[in-house]
Amino acid sequence: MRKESLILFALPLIALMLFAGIAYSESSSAQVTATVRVLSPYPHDTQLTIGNSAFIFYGSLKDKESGQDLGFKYVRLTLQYPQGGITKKVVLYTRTYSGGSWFIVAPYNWKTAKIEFLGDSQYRPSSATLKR
Amino acid sequence: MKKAIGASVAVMALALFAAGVFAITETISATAETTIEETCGLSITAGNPIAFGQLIAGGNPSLAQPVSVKNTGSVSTTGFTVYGDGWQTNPVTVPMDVSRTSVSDDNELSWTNLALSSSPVPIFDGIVLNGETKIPEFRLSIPAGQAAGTYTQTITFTASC
Repeated sequence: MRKESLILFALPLIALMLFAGIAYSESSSAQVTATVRVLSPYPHDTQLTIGNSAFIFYGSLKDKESGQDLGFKYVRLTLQYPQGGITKKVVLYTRTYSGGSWFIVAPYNWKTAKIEFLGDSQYRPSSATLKR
Repeated sequence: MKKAIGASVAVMALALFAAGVFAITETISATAETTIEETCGLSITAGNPIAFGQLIAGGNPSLAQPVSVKNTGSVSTTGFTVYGDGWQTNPVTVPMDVSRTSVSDDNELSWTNLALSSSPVPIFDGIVLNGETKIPEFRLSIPAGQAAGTYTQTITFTASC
């Protein structure tokens, strides 16, 4: 009688353990997340900025779509300034630094300052103007 | 006489004690057999998330991105697969085909690219030994005309044992 009770008690327990083991051993999975930023084909639009402090002009050039700084690109600064009753113009060139920034020292009593990127095979032209 | 009685009592006491111990043992003893089943487990140990970076639509494919997948179970797998749930954008623009993602399972110089699918694709012949780490590599190419944006996808590895 005692043995029968033990068997009756133990059998469901063993069955449960076996079932749990089998269920766990069937399969397993693991996940990873993948990301990508898709950019449109070249040429990309660009964004050029200009600022001024005393005789220093400065700004930056970026890929408008990705926000990437565009280094080693030629930019052209055109200043218009009054002299002797007429408006004169001076054009200065520089290249952006690796971080996309640029600056030019220009000791002129300027009225209008325009910075331009003329574009290349990968990036479209852009410009920005300051007036005072 | 007294000595004989004393010895007799002592022997009887010893016998009773032994019987008691035996009785207790008999009461609590039971045989239970437990079978330790073979377990199956997977773990990503490196390469999560997969960052393909910025890719130009219609441009060159991405660099290979390895993912380390370890069999943490107690036995070898009898099946090892991978599938993707598709590239998603938010907001949804133009969906990108999941098969643009390829997976390599040969880890050799020449790639054997398998197109990722929304259905499980067997890799490494389905076998990963217990404790072993496999390193499948993923590459992605963006079709020309694909809308710009940030795309994400969940890639799932499955193991059966």
